[in-house]
Formats: sequence, structure tokens, C-alpha cells
Amino acid sequence: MNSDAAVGGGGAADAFSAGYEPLRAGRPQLGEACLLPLDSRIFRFGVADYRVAPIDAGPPSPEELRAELTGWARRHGVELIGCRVPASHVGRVEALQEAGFRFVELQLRATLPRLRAEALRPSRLTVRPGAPADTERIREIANSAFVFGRYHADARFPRALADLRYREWVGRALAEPSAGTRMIVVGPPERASGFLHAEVEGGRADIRLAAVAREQGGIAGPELFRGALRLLAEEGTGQATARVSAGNTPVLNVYAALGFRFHDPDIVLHWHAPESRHLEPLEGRPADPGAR
Amino acid sequence: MDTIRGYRNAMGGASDAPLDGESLLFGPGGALDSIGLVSVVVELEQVLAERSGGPVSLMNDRALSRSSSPFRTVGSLAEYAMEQLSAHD
Repeated sequence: MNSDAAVGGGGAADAFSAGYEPLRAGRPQLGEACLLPLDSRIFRFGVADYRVAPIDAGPPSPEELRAELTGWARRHGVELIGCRVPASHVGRVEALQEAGFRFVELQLRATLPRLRAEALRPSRLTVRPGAPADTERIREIANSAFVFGRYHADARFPRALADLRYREWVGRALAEPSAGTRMIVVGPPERASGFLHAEVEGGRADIRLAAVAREQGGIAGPELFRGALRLLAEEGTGQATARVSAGNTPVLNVYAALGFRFHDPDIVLHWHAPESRHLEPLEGRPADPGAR
Repeated sequence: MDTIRGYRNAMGGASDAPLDGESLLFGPGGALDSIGLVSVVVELEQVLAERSGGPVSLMNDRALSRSSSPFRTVGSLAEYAMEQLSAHD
């Protein structure tokens, strides 16, 4: 929240993916990959998600995986491939790194198993459903508030593109909402100070993205989450989940204060094509995202 | 100050670091995280309410709408609290 208010948006594969296909037919050990059309459109180069084969399939050699990934990426015009692996699968993580993937971040799944309005005091600030008049302000916040999430955590990935992705994300959620889309904002009409985007399905809200304007100095974040969860509970949502960067302790503390439990840690890795044009040099980049 | 210091120390902050009006409450280098800040503000509201004999609200949309956050430093929070207390009188 605050200066570092950011959650979610970290899934290696998100809702906007096409179908998976094997890296090579007849070699299931190599795993499978899919293009991410939305990210590819935003970044203007191909982005994909890679899924390792089931653990009992027997891993391929790093050399074979590297060669097949490179070939698949070239055939599909892909410059970046993300992958998420359970944190306990340390052998897989090691093999992926030998094949050219690099560690990006550790993510946790957060779950509030029983979401009840009466357990949440009303927010002290105005927390309300977003309106069309909030769009520009929300896009502005999304463009500058994030320091966590897999693209921001990738030291070689351009910050401007990572920010652009979140700006486009909220714009899309506002312009093309599904029946389950909820965009909740904190702040009076036309003066939104933060937003929370969730997708509701089957009585469960999955919090996809949330951020508070950097200049709001801290109080807006906890109040946004509390108020948004209360609104969701009042409409009958009984459970809430989110995926959070483990380094995002400000948000983890907010979730903890609201009763969330943390589980299913995943390691997120990125593979960059050798000929990638978008990569930034490591020199001169702050080592600590909070130093931004 | 004691409340802020106590919270900061509990969260593993530098216990002997000076705390004065210029000390940042929140953000990089700040004494508190967001939950700590909300806790301190709520506690401060209770103290002010006891002193003034009526409810005092520091955490509200008006505070949020200010161009410079009153929750940025110890000094700005103190100034804002005094302002709200005066308005209450």
C-alpha cells in the first residue's frame, strides 16, 4: 500500500492465456507452454508461460530443455517465458535454472476461509465501487504504485513496461468487466486514492490487483482492503484469496491483520530469449525495489 | 512518541534511533508499516477524545484528500492532531 502498495498481478500464467502445447510432440518430459496474448500485446513482443511436466515424468536434461525452449520461443516469436514451480520442488528449480531460467520471486497464496461482514469494522474512509469517472485516476495509480509482482521483480525487465502492464490491466478491467469483476476504490467520488480489483466466482473473491497512491501515506491501504472485503461480504462472498509476493511484507501484514492464512509458496522464474531486445542492463538499477 | 517507539521496536526497528518531528512515520525509512500507522492513529484518536471529551477523527476522507499527507512525519501528525483538536473546541 502506500509507497509500496501492491499485490497480486504476479501469476506466471494469468487469466489471459491461450492453450498449452507440448514443447515437442512425443516428449512430455519437456513440459508445455502457452502464449500470453494480453501481455504479448502490451509489451509488443511474445510472452509465454511454461509448465513443467508432472514430477513423475522424469526431468529432461538442462541442455535439451534449453534447446527446446529456445526453438519453441523462436517459432512463436517469444522473448520471455515465465514459470511457476512449488517452492518445495527444489530439484526442478535447480534444473530450470541450469536450463536458463532465473529466479524472480517467491509468491504465496493467501486465503481468508470465512469472509464475514460482521467481523470487519466499517472502514473509516469512503470505500465504494469504482465508477467511470475514476478510470483515469486508477490508471494513474496503477502506473506508478507497484514495486512488486513478477515483472517488477525481474531485474532485467524494463520498469516502464511493467508499469504499463498494470495500467492496461486496470483499464481493461474497467472497460470490459465480466459478471464477476469488482473494482473497488478508496476515496470520495472523483478523488480515488487506491483501488482493489477482484474477480468473484462461486462465492469466492480472488483479489487480482490492489494499489494505493504513493502520496497517501499509509492509512489508505489497510482501509481499502478492510472496506473492500466488507463490501464483498455484504454481497454474499464467503471466501477471499490472493496471490502475494513474499517480499511484499506491507501487504502480507495487512492480510495477516485481516485474518488471511498463507500457503502454497511458489517460486517464479523467467527465461529470456538470448536475442531479447527488451532486456535492461543490470548496471545502475536499484538493488532494492523499495529504493525506487 | 512512546506508542510509535514501542511499535517500531516491536517490529525490529532500531530501538535507539532518535525520533523527532522530522522522523518519517511511513514509507522507506519510516518508523511504522501501514498497520502500525493505523494503530497509532487510532490510539491517538482515543487519547484526544479523552482529553477533549468528545470523539476526534483523524483518519477520514479529508485527511486523505490533502495535498501533503498529515501522516508523513511525527511532526505533521502532531500538527494535524492539534488542528483537529482546535476545530473540536
